[in-house]
Amino acid sequence: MHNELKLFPREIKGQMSERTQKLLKIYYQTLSSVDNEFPYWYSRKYFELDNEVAAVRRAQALKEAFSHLTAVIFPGELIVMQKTMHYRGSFAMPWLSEGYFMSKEDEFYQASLKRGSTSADQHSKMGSGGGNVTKSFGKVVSIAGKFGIREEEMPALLELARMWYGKSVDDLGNKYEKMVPGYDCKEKIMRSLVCMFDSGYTLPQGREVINYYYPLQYGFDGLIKIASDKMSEVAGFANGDGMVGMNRLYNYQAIKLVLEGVQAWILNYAKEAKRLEHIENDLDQKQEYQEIYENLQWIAYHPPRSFKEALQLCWTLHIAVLNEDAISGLSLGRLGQVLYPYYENDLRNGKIIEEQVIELLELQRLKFTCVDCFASMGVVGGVLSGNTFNNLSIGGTDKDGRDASNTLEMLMLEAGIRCPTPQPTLSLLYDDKLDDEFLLKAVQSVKTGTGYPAFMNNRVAMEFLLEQYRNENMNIEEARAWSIGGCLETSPCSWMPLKINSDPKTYYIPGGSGQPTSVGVHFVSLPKVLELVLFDGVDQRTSESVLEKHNRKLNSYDELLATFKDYFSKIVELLVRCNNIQHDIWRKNNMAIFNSLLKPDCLSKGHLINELGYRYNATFNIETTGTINLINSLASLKKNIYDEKRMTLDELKWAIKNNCGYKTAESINSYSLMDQVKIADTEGVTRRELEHFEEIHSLLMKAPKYGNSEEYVDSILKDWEDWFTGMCRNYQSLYGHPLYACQISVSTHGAMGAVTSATPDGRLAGTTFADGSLSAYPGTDKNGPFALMNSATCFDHSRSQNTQLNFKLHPMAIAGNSGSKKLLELIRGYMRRGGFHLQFNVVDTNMLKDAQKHPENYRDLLVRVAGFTQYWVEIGKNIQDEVIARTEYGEM
Amino acid sequence: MKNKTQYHYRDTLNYAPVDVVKGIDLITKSLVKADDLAPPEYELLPKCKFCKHFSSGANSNYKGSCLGFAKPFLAYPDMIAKTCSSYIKNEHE
Repeated sequence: MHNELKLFPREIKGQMSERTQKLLKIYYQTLSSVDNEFPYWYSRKYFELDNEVAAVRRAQALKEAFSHLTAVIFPGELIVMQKTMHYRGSFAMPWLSEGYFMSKEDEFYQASLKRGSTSADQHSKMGSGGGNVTKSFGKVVSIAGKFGIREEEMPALLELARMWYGKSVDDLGNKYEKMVPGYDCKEKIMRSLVCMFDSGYTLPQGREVINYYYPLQYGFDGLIKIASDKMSEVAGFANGDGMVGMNRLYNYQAIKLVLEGVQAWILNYAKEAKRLEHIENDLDQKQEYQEIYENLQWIAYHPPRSFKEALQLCWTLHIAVLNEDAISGLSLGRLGQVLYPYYENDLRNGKIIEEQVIELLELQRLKFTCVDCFASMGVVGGVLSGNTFNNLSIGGTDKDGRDASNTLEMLMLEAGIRCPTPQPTLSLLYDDKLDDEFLLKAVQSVKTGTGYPAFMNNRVAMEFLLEQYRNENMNIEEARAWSIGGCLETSPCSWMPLKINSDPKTYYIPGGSGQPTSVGVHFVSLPKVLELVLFDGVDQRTSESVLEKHNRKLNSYDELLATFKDYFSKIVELLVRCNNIQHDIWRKNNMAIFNSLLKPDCLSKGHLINELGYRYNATFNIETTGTINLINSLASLKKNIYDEKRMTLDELKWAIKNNCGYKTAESINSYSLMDQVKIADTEGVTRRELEHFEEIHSLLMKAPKYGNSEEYVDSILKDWEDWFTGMCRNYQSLYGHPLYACQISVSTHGAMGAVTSATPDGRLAGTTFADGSLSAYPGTDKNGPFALMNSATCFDHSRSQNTQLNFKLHPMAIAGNSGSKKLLELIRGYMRRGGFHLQFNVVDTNMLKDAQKHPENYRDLLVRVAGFTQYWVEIGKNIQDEVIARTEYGEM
Repeated sequence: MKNKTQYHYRDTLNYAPVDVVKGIDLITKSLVKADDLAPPEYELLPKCKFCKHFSSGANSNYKGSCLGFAKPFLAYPDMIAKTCSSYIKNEHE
């Protein structure tokens, strides 16, 4: 019976305003919806402008699209505008990629399948609940596994997509990446899911911090004037730059056009607010429409005058950037510090009170939660779990190195407690200088079970930034401006001098100043590479020969490790070259214009992102998944095969090929190790064989495991980290800068686990990998949280853009004030040891099991996955199983 | 007196589309189905299918052409034309 389980609720629960509650209720009933407006007008204009300069052509298309979006305002909203007409809307961008949303029989889809760009779609799982449209019904067609589009719009979308065939970044990039020697091997790598995604056409931007400064300071009219003045100034001058100096004229023209487009979009909303005011009978609602009209009419031209206008403008800018390109992880940065001057002014002048601010922040949370990104099933389901990672950072230090937290950030925490929603998730930039009251408020938020804020180490991030951006002259003051981009990507930012209204003071506000920080080589599966090493380059799932045979006998641990590094390096080199080409095509035809003009120093230099207009450009990375399964596997191989010779390599390979005598995870529809089922001796194997499998599997499971403060395995992790973080720097991005390591799993540990055979650490075929990069494999950390922290900090975290450690705590473990203080001490302890990131799921595992059985009772249940918070019902089963299986600490 | 045509909610100006199947009636504030009939007094939402410049396609009910600008281009009946500078309502609508 469903109510037989004793379920422990979370200790802290907030109460949102009635208005927010009503709007959230609508959200709970809303389907992810797609429409054609943006791609229609964009394509129409683009194809009219043959031979126009690329940046201007794109800008004209963007202007056309923005200015034709239908404005829809929902009753009760105070912060208005959304990506499309729908409450939770998005749209296809066939100029980036078009094959993945065609029907499976379509030749374009089949072409994508062959080159591996849709392989991840087949192994990604989308939660079937919430707003996901996983099946067609009535007049709604399910598209890309998650979204619903009206059947009346589908034929036109397909027609638009066909117009882009051979011209999209995906297609054009593919044409040129084929010229890279060994390209066939790259296709095999993608098809076998050794790597989960290409980078240049999937989500080419994001995992970065937006910069709201220029429109806040100058307003749209001011910026249009700057662009116009600059055009007069630079027209016909190369300025000593014979390559791209002349482009400045076209770039400023492009900037001006896109600004005009976004301005028209805002004005369309203002017009709609005015129309609604006229037809509205309720006087309060009428008044609200009037205020919305006035605010929009003002910010369409001028810098904002109040907190509310500034908040509205920041939201508008945010979704304008999101509409410009396919983006996940466009972070708000330290919005509480950006908006503080407006908040302080309004409070001082009696224009606003705290409760109003909290309600506005709740409404802003709801707006962000509605943000969808239309991308392939593999990207949206396999990586993002439906989230779009609009991350809000709080805390950190100011320009002078002092505690930067403020009372508005306290209210942001409060809004997050009262209105628990997946977005924006919160990231606390931890520094020892931060005030205890602020930190305890954050702990209170963690206890709601939303998983936010996550805690990131200010000092470690700054060390990473100073090293990575040394060649671009980053200094300590600038390093202090950083924020998290995406779920936990350390991103470079800058201090901008803001003046508001008649206030004589200059406020230095932080804002993003770097390119996307998680592009380049996406998610290489380390356990899958190990599988290729053990089986001489052959994928055990497909039997395809992915890499050239290494022809080594792997007679020693050193030989095994050297072979692993060789294979890994070959894969990385090939992927770097192919993805550099994809991004190069992107920058030639699909460059960011709106996002560029927001980032220093594009406006002053006259160069957009594609011409190194950003202040920081050394932002490309190499991402890995399954670190801990690799480390545990290496420890097991070392122990069982080489040091103690408990089995031969051939015996191990035989066991792996036969999944150690277990059924496949898919056949039993569970992706957690603890649920796996053994084959019976009636199913084609002998009893003796089964005993042998059991014996081998037991040895694999007993081998030393990461997370227990054990030197044997921790030293393997340290060696790996030292090598991996160093080797990344041997590769260059298309912008001529060295790459760095990025170690987060997002949701890839589900899809990539699904295609990987059993591993030498005892993990069985098809089951999900350990999450993050430093979370223990479920059930293998036996010595408590401090032992896990010891293992996790055995190497220098500042050599990587990030690391990721997730804890699951039973609500009872941190109950009451003493529990809060204990949790804070745990966080402090980890940060002081040099750990970069720590986050918590405060949840009773029994509740999760119940939610899996009875999803209808848990529409609002939130869990922390890996760097993001999501509704339980919108997560795929393989990730749900992994979250359930995570070790739950019942006491600290 | 001529009876006023009753349109589907999704073809009226008093409908805010929450998603592809439902929306909010901006007058009553209630959640309504996109394909339900709206009250007869609700004003028509400009869409290509109501525009003089729209030419239906021969092979598909859901595709046609827009002849309202210098160069003809793909169009589809259900496309909202509220922001289109060339929209001219068909007389019979």
